[in-house]
Amino acid sequence: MDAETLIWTAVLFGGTVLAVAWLSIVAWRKEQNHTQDTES
Amino acid sequence: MASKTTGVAREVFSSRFAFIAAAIGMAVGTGNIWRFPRDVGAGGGGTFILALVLANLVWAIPLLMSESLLGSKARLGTIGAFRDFMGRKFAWMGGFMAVVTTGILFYYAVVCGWAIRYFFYAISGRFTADIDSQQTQQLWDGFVSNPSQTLAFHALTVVLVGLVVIRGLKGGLQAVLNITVPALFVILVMLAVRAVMLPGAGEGLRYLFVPDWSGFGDGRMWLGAFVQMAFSTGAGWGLYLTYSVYMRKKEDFALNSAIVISWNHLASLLAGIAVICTVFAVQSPQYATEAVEAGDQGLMFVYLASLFGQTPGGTWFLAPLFFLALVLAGLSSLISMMELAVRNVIDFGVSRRTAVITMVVITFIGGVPSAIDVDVLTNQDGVWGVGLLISGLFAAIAMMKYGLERARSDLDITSDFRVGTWWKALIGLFPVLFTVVFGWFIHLAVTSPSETWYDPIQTWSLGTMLLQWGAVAVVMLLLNNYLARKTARGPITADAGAPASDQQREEV
Repeated sequence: MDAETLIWTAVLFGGTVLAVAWLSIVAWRKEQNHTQDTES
Repeated sequence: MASKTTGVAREVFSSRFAFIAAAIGMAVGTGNIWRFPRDVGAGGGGTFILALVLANLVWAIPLLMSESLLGSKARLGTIGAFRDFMGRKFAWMGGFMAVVTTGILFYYAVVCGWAIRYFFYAISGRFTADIDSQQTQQLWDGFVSNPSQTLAFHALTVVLVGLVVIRGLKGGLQAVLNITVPALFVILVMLAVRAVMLPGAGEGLRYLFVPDWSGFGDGRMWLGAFVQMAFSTGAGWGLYLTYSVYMRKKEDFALNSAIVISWNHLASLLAGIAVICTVFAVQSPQYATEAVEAGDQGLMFVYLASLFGQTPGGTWFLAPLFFLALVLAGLSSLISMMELAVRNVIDFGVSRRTAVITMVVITFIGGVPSAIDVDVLTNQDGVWGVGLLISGLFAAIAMMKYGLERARSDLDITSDFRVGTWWKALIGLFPVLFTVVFGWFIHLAVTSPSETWYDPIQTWSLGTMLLQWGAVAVVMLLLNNYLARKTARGPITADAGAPASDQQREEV
């Protein structure tokens, strides 16, 4: 695989994976806080 | 005005993740698996993906947030939501949105039936190393020209979906989607990983991800990206609106929408890697390009089906997994489409059981023409696929009629991310964006070499689209008062048929 393919794959695919992971983690943390608030 | 409150939804998703899983299942469908790989190749690889990301940001996310507000405040299906947000004169817009999505439901069930048939072919070891594209073409032609088979698998699909929807939110939709959606992603990851490990897969990655900047100024590429976005994300279908009817109180709007869109985009990329890398790894670049440009059905059921056997473990591993992914993606989207139709029927004061049985029968009958003639299916795909852009415009107009600042404030109160003026700007500019995208579509249709753009009986023409959209709009306008009156009252239904008052809004 050439460098150009590697870079663009990292940017477009890797960027999507990072966005998915970040947004999901933020939502998970908010949900944990929400659950704790509801219980207390 | 509406006289009953019995239809108002009381069930809610048990958690945020149950809602998000259902919404991802709604968004991820066959559009990700068979439409994206074709369009991304034709659109210049990475250039198309960049355009798709932009379309997601400026169109899909703001629109899903709007749908979410409509559903969660009104607690009614599309017809009731438009009535309560815009006033009783506008119930027809919700009806139009419901008919467009139900039109897709009819032929989409047929497509899902094809996927189920091919899954059975795959698990019986049909796609071996000796099968070539001529034989898979014969297999395909033999299948689609046999109405008893296509109708049987169409019926099977509709019944399967009906069995899920009839069990309601927690016992049906949530229980099934909490399993099938994660399973779909596991399968897509397995397929993508296997595909990139094949020798020669690098050419596929180049084809998929490296931008061809010469196409960046091409209006066709941008139109393709917006249509793919509308078809793939479910924005403007009313499906997210329908699931939002069952949202918990004080649920997030902005982050949930962004999560759904990002997971949907990831599914497209995984499917693109799985399909394109497999095609490029097994065949020459010329053959691979021919395969990717062969259209939806040609790529999946002819070219790709002939290549599975040529990859190690393809016959018994890749082929069954691939068609299983197609089935799961199709079913999870179909469930949401059926629920949209059923929700509107329930709002008329009908029990869920009766509504589902009625919709199962209607969906089967509505899909019969597409099941026995692929040209009809192609026509319906074009008419209602592009019609989604109009549905999206209606959702944006509903926000404007309700008041952009008022809607922004409602969205901001419970969102984890701040919903600022950016949302108002994007929804405010939506009609402009719609005019550009839709205007370009009309321009392309009118200036196409076929010169039959006005012919309403062509499989693919502007004429057939205008005729069918116009017919639906006229019928819905004529039925407007009946729909507005018949649909149950929701928590923000105004007594005089006006949009919801500030006081009612505060109470919800």
